[in-house]
Amino acid sequence: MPHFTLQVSPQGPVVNAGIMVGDARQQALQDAGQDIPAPQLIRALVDTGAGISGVDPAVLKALGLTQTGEAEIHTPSTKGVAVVTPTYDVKIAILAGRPGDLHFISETIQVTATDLTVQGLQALIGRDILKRCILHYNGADEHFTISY
Amino acid sequence: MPLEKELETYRKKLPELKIQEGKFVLIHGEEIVDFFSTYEDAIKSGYQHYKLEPFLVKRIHATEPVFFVSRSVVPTTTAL
Repeated sequence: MPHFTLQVSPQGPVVNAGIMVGDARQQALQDAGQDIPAPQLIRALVDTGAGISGVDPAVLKALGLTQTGEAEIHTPSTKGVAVVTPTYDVKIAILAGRPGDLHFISETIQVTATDLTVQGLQALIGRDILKRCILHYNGADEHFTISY
Repeated sequence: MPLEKELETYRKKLPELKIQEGKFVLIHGEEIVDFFSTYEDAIKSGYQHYKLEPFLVKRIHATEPVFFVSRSVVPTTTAL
């Protein structure tokens, strides 16, 4: 089973990742004679507390995405109630340690637009992606492994 | 608001859509286009049929699920 191991950062289990337009949207853009936006390189936190993955709005805007769904989401910031949030279709590639060190590439998934800038991150990799992986968190040695 | 018509169609037709609970429905305007087992298949069909026009892909649930995110993040409530 392919896997990679990284050090746990002060922010937690963080990976370099690429967010890109899904295959079907790429084809639609090509058919319309439009440019395909370049993948956005980001820092993403592997977050077992997130039921759905979220990507910073600035990253989604750079990809020129339009809303294709909605989801109800509940976070400490929503003060005890769920809020309805638009969702977008993207693919996520985990680059692991170094740029170009390509590992896991997701199928097209639904993500929310979630403001993470103050946390120094651009995405949360939630359990919707982790359900395709095995995550081993070694707190004692401060590293984590993802097999996929 | 983007997808306003599609979301209204989903809510209006939910009683009859419930028989397909768990599947992903593709909606364009007031039309229920098709049902799919995976999100990716539904999205693919949406772009194949409607290109860059608005369309909605939504998993059918009798009761809308709530996704919990334990980290204090701020979800956007309006489209980009």
